Amino acid sequence: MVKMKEQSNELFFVQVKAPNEVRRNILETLKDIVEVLKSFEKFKHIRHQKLENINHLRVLLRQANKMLGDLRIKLPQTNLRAIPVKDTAKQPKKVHHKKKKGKSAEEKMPKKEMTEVDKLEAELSAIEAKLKSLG
Amino acid sequence: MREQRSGMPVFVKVDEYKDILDVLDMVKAKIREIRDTLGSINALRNEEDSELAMWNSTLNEIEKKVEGIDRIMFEPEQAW
Repeated sequence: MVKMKEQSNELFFVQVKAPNEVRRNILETLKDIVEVLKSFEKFKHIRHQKLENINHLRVLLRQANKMLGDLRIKLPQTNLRAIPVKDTAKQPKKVHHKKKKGKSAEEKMPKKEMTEVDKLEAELSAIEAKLKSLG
Repeated sequence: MREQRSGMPVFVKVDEYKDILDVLDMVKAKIREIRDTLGSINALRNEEDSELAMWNSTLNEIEKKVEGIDRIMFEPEQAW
């Protein structure tokens, strides 16, 4: 029994083939990881800057949109290109009427559900309708 | 419905015309600003891309080094 205990307490060592190389590899890997962490901080900063710029861009686009709206108001309101042709004149009337019906149905829905995208889509369709009327 | 001919001349009041020109100048300036901001967003995106590419190459290097360590550690020299 004593012999068995002595055997279990014996220590065995494994020789590392190239200890210097292993040590160097570990240190280089550590260095690389620290560099990646440093780069990650830089990346975070860049992303933050990018998000700020995107928000700024959104503000600028809204301002430009408002300015163009003002410009449209300042220009005279004419329907010069609305050439009345008997057949085509009747059709838009019908469509317009239908749209009104659709709008009244939309109006019944709560306004809170209108997201920014919905508003922009509505604006786009209004502009497209105006462009169509111009011919 | 009143019929109107296309190509009819349109007149704008002089003071309103000046306003329109001012607004147009403002819109042009705003568009320049938008273009600058878009350019800087693009530059930042390129920086992000280069950082990601650098991470990728560094990770490859790390992987190689760890494999090297693994190879050395799992091939001990036989002492007997």
